[in-house]
Amino acid sequence: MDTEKANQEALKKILDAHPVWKDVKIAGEVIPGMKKNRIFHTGPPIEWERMCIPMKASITGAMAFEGFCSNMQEAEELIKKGEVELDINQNHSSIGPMAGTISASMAVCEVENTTFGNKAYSGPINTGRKPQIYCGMFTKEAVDIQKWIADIWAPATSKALQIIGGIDARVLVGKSILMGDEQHNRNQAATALFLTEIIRGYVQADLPKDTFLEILNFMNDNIAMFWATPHLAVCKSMLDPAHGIENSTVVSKMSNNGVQFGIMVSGLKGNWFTAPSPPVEGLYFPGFKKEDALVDLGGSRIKETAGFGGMCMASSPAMLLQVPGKPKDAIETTLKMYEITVGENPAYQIPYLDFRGIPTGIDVRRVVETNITPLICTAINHKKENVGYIGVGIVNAPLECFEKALMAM
Amino acid sequence: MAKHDLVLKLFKNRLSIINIGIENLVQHLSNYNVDMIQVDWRPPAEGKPEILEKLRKLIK
Amino acid sequence: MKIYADVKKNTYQDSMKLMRLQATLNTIPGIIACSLAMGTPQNKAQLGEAGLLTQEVEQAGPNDLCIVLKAESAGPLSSARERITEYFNRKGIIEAYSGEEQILPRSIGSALRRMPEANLAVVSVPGPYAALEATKALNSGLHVFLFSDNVPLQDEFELKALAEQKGLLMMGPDCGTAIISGIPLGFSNAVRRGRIGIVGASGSGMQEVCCLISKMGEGVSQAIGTGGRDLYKEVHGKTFVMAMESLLDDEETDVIILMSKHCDEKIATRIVKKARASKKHIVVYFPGLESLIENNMENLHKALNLEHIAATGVALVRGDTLPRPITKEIISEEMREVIISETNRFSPRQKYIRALFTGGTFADEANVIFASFFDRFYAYPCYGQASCLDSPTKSKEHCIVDLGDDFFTRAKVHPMLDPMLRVERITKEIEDKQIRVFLLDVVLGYGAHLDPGAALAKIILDSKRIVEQQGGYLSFIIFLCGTEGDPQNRTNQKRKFENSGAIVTDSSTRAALLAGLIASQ
Repeated sequence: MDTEKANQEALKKILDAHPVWKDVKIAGEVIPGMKKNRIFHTGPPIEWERMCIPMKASITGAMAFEGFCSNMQEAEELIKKGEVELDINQNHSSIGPMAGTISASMAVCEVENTTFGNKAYSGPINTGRKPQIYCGMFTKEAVDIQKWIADIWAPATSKALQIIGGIDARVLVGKSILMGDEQHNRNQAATALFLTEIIRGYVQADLPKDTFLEILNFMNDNIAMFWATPHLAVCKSMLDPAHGIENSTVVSKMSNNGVQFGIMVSGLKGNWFTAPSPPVEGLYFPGFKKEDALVDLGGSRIKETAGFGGMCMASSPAMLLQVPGKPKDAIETTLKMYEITVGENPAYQIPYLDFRGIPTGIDVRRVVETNITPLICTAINHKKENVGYIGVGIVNAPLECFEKALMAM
Repeated sequence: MAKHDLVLKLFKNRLSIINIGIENLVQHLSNYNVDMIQVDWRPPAEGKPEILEKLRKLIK
Repeated sequence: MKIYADVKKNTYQDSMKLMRLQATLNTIPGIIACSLAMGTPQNKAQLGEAGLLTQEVEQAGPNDLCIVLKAESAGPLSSARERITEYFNRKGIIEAYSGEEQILPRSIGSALRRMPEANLAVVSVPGPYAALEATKALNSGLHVFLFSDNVPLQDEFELKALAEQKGLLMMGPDCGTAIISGIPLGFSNAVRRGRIGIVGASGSGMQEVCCLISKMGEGVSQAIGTGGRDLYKEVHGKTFVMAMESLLDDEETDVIILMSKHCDEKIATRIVKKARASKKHIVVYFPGLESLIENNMENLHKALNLEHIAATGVALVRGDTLPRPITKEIISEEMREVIISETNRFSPRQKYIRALFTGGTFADEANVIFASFFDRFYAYPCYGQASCLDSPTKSKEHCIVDLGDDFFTRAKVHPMLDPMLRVERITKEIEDKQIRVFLLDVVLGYGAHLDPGAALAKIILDSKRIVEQQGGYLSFIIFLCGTEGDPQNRTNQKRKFENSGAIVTDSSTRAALLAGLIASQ
C-alpha cells in the first residue's frame, strides 16, 4: 500500500473511533503486564540514571503509594536491586499525565474504543492544584489523595459508570470543544458535562451522603482539569488502531519523559524517534519563575497527537491568553496545524473556524517539509521534587524527531 | 478517455493557478481573467539534501 | 407526498447549526416540512405533533441526530438530501483570518484545499527543490509550468514520465515561456489570440514567433513550452509529443508549429512521423535536422529561420501561397541603403561582429546564419559550425555569446531582467578595437525589464562616440522581440534605440542577416 493510501487508512481509523469511558478499575487488575512490583511511567524509554528529578520523584511517589519506600534514595536502591521494575506506559496500553507514574494499586480510567474493541487505561487521576504524584511528588499528601481516590472515589465512580452505561466520550468531547475547551490545559466544559451525566449514576449507586459530597467536591474543586485524565485514555484508544499501518507516515504517539521528546510513527512500529526536551514558554503561578522550571515533560502529548490541545487552540477563546501575541495569532497557529495533518475530524468542531473539524493525523512528511511542528499546550513542572507544577504554557515538538522518523521510512 | 483529455480540458477552462516561488512571475496575471493563489514556500527540511531526497521518494 | 427519515447515531450537532440548515431546506420548492434535531424527548414530542415522528426517530436517543424530510415528490426530497450532505461536508474556514496580514498556504496541498478548482501550478523555486514541488503538483492532478532550471536531467525524465502517466502537461524544467489559452506565463508577450498553436523547446524563439504572428495580423491559440531538454534522448520528447497531440485534437487550432532546439535525431524522426500522419498543417523547425522534412510531405512544412516559421504559419492559416524564407540576398537588396550607411565609415581594422544575446534561440539562429557568412566564428555555448572560446567572458573575432546561459546566470540575474549585464559586457568588448558591428536582441514583455532602452541606448550612444573618436564607426543592429500590448511600450523603446543610432529591424532573422552582411562587407 503506498503512503497516501496508508495515511488515509490511518486517518479513517482515527475518525471512526468511538471512545466510551466504561469503568474505573484498579491498575493491577486490568493493565496488561502490570505487576505488584512494577511501575509504569511516561515514555520514551529511559534508564533511571538519566531520568530527570521529577520523574524519579514521581516513581518514588508511586512506590510510596504501594508502601515500598518513602524517599528517593530508598527508591533507587530497590530499583537498582531489581526488586522494583520500571517500564513505559506506552508499552502497556496505559497513559499518564506528566511523569505519568502508575502502580498496581492505583485507580485508572478504562476507556473502550467501541468501533474496534480496543481499550486504554489512564492514571493517576488528576488532582488539580492539590499535591500531584505525577508531577514529581512523593509527599504524604500526594500519596494520600491517590489512596482516597483508589479507595473511595474509584469504586463509587465505577458503580455509577456501570449504572449509566458509561460515558460516550465522543459526544461529550465534541460538545466540550464547541463550548471552549481545547482538551489539554482547559477541560472545564468537559468536566461540567461529565458531572451532569454521572450524577444520575452516583445517586442510583446509593452512596452514603458524606461520600457522595466528598466525591462531588473533589471533582468540582478540580473543574478545570478533572476531565484531563479520562481524556488521555480517550485519545490513546482513538490512536492505537491507527498504529502499525505499513507505509503510513502518520504520527501515532508523542511523549516526553522530561529528558527526551519522542514520537512514534504508524508505519514504523516499535521505534521511538527522540530529541532533547525543549523548554516551555509560559506563564507562572505566583511565586514561581522561569528559572524554577523543568523542560517539557508529559505523556499527555497523546492529546495533540489526536488533534486536541495545542492543535486546536482556536476552539478555546480563554486559552488564547496563553499564547504570546494577539488572540488572532493563536487562531493562526491552528490554521498552521492544518498544513501538517492528513485530514480533519468532524466529530470535534471548532466554531470559530466555521465548524471545521480538528486537524487530525499529523504527517511526518508535511512537518519536515513545512518546518511547522505540532504545537502543544502543557503544564510546566518544577525542576525539583515535591513542588508540583508551577505554570502553564506552550511548546513545539522538536523538528529533529520528525526528521529522524522520515529518514527511517 | 484519450491520453490528453486533461490537456484539452486545460485549454477550455478558466486558468486557476497555484504559484509556488517568485511572486513577480505571475504579477501581470492580475490583468487577466485568472484565479490565483500564492504559496508561502520555504525550503523544506531546512535544505538538508538527504532529507529532501527522502521526501521526494515518499511523495511518489 | 414522500417522507425521508434518517437517524445518525451518536452524532452531535449544535442546535443553531441545525436550525440554519433547516431554514435553508425549507426554501427548496416542493419541501413541505423538515426537521433536523437531536433525539431528545422534547424534540421527539415536537416531531410527533408535526406528524414527523417516524419509527426510527422514535427509537433515537438524545445523542442521535434525527433528520426527517417531507416533500411533494422525490425530486425536492433528493435536492434536500444533497444539500444536507453538502452542508455537513463543508470545509469550514480555510481562508486565512482576514486581518492586516494574510496567512498564505504553506504548500500545494493546502493551497489546493483553498482553491480546489486549481488546474495549473507555476513553479519557480530553486533548482534542488523544483522536482519535489513539481511531483507534488502532478500527484495533485495539476498541470505544471516549471520555470526553475538546474534540475537534474534524471529528475526531468521522471517528472515527465509521471506527467505522461497522469495525462498532465509538464512544461519544463527550464521552461521560460508559455501562453495557455491567451494567458501569458513566464517571460511572454501580449499576443493576439488566434488559430496557430505552437509547441516550443525554445522560450525566446517561441516569444519571437508569437510576436511576429501577432504583428502579421494572425494569432496564437496555445503556445506550449516544453523546456530546453525535452528533445534530448534522455527525455524522449515526452512533453513535446503530448503537446502536439493535444493541439492536433484542439478545435481552436488549425495550424501547428513545432520548434525545437538541440534535438535527438531518433526523437525528431518519431515526431515527424506522427506529424505526417495528422490532418493539420504543421510547420517544423528542427535546426540541423532539416533533411527529415522532404518536399513531398504534404502537410509538413520546413521552416529555415524564425521569421520564416511565423510567415509560413500565417500563410497556412490564411490559405495563401507559402513564403520563401528571407535570405541574405533579399536583405542585401531590401536594406541596401542601410547597409551602405552602416559600412561607409568604419576603419580598416574594424573587422568583426559581436552578437550578445539574452535569448538562447536567437544565438542558435545566428549560429546557422553566421555559418553562411564566415569561414570561422566563435560561440559560447559552442556547437554546430562554431569554434569554441577559451573563456565565455572573453570574445574572439566573429563571436556569438548567449548571456542567458547558465554560466552567466548562475551567479547573476538573467540579462532579460537586468540590462546592466549587457552594458558591462559591451563596455568590455569595445576595448577590442577590431569590432565593427554589434548584434543585440531586446526582449520585451511580461517578466522582462521595464525599460531596457534606457540603459542600452546610452551605452550604444557612448560606444559609438568612443569609436568615432578613434576614427571609426560602430554599428549596432537591434531587434525588439515584443508587441504593442507589452508593458514596455514598444514604440517608445524603438524610438530610444533609433535615437541612439542603432538600426532596429523587424525580426531576429533580419537582424542577424543584416548584421552578417555589415560584418562581411
